[in-house]
Amino acid sequence: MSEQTAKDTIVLVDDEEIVLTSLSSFLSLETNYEVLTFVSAKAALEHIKQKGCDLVISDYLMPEMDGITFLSKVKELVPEVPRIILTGYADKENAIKAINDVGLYQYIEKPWANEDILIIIRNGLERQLLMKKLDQKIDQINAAYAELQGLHKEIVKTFV
Amino acid sequence: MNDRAEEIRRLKDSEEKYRKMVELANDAIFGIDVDSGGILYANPKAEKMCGYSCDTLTGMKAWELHPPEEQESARKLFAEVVEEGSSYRRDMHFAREDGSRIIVDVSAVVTSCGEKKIIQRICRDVTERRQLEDELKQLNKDLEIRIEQRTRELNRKQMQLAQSEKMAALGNLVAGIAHEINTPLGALNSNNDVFIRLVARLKAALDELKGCDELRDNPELETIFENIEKLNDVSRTAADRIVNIVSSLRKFARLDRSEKDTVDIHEGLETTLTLAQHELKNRVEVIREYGDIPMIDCYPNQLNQAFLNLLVNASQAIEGQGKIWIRTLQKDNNVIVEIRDSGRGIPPENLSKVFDPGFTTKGSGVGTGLGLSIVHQIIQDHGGNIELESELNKGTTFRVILPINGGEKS
Repeated sequence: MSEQTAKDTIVLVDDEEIVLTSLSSFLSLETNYEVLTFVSAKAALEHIKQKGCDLVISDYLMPEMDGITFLSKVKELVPEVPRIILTGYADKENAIKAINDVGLYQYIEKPWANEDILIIIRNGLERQLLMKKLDQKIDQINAAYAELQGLHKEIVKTFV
Repeated sequence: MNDRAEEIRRLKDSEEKYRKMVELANDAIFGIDVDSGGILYANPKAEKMCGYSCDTLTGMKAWELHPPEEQESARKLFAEVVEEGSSYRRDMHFAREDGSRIIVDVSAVVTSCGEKKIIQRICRDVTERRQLEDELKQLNKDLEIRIEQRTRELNRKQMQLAQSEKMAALGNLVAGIAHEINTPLGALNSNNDVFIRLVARLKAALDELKGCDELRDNPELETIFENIEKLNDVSRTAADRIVNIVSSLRKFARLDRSEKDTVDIHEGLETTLTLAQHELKNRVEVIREYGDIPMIDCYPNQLNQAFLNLLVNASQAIEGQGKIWIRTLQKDNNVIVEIRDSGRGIPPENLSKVFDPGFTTKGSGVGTGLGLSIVHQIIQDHGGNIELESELNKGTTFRVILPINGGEKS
């Protein structure tokens, strides 16, 4: 997108290095996103708290904190950021349930297809951007409305 | 003189005592002439037991107390006892005056009465007791049969329970393994994709450098690229196959759907075939004759288990090269799945036994003898039926008939 000034930042969390390396290599090859990888959900939370991010992808089964808990904490910190969970078969049902409970944007099944991930990320980011724009527009409308109200009062005052 | 009168009086007393004993006895007592077999005397109890008056009885032969068909043997017995001077005790039938029959415990002994030899028979009516005993025996027999049936049923249930526990444990194991495999598999799969992209990039970059003479037409570089591309393709195919197997395992165990569901039988057959691949590979040709069948209500993991059993059995029935035909069709409200093999067939004497739990011809260590009994149970649980046709050295057909509505009764 032409109006994108800074690179979008994607946070990847998985307790397995191999997954992080594979995914980040692919993303850095095919996209301009800035990809940050974390084996620890806590460290990822700390980073998001400090610096924020544009999209989060997390594994489900992790020893320190499961992906659903992690993403619900992300929601508290940055509610507008799309959250995606990566899951194996065994916990698919739970993951789908959690999508509704925690308000996840998508879930991706392992083994994933790179092309799918690309589309999901792109759509997630676009959605986020559109939401942001929508918020801006709403703010503008609200401001214009307030101005109108003020004008209205002025006019009434002048004539009455 | 006094002594003699005393003796007579004592004799009279004694005779009176014995006469009373005989008359009041609760058993029928007969005295029988050893020479003629005629009844000499009978006590009141004997009258009552046989229904004849004492006068009639004393005009009868001993064997005439028995029903006609037993009189001949009774007569022989009588002759034997007389000849050997022996005694006997046994159950015999008496035919009463009114035609009814009773069972009598007869005890006979040869004794002397003065200088005359007689046979004394003491008889007791045991009809009721023997009937009760017979009833008791019958009840015991029934009970034994029922216990045997229940035991067999329990054994079968226990085996099934053990098997379904085993399957549940296996299901959990498969789920765990699928999950564990999917993470590294995801990485491998993704990397293969990245390698292919990288090679394409590298080639494009080199093309831009083709101005350099050293790079143009470098045979070494060409070989390297050829190999990388070829091997990347192999890696991708291999990874795809692992993805398929893991996905089949999961679908087979239906870990996502262990409850009743409406499913496509063809899909179940295909996942099952993937898992049976190692049994069939390069040896057995599978010919699919899939018809137009509707989805059916069933427990998919159980049905898949049944299909796997039938397919593995079919494959094991084939020595060397052979074929398996899988035919599906709809008939009325049923879906029919036929699995036919070109194997050695089942001997006629075994046809009725193949569904019995524990029956196996595969030898210990190969088969558990549970496979087909479990298939049978699973199909029955679905309200269906399984039929079997076999011809020696030609092959066997198992026909699974499943109601579309899942056999809902109520």
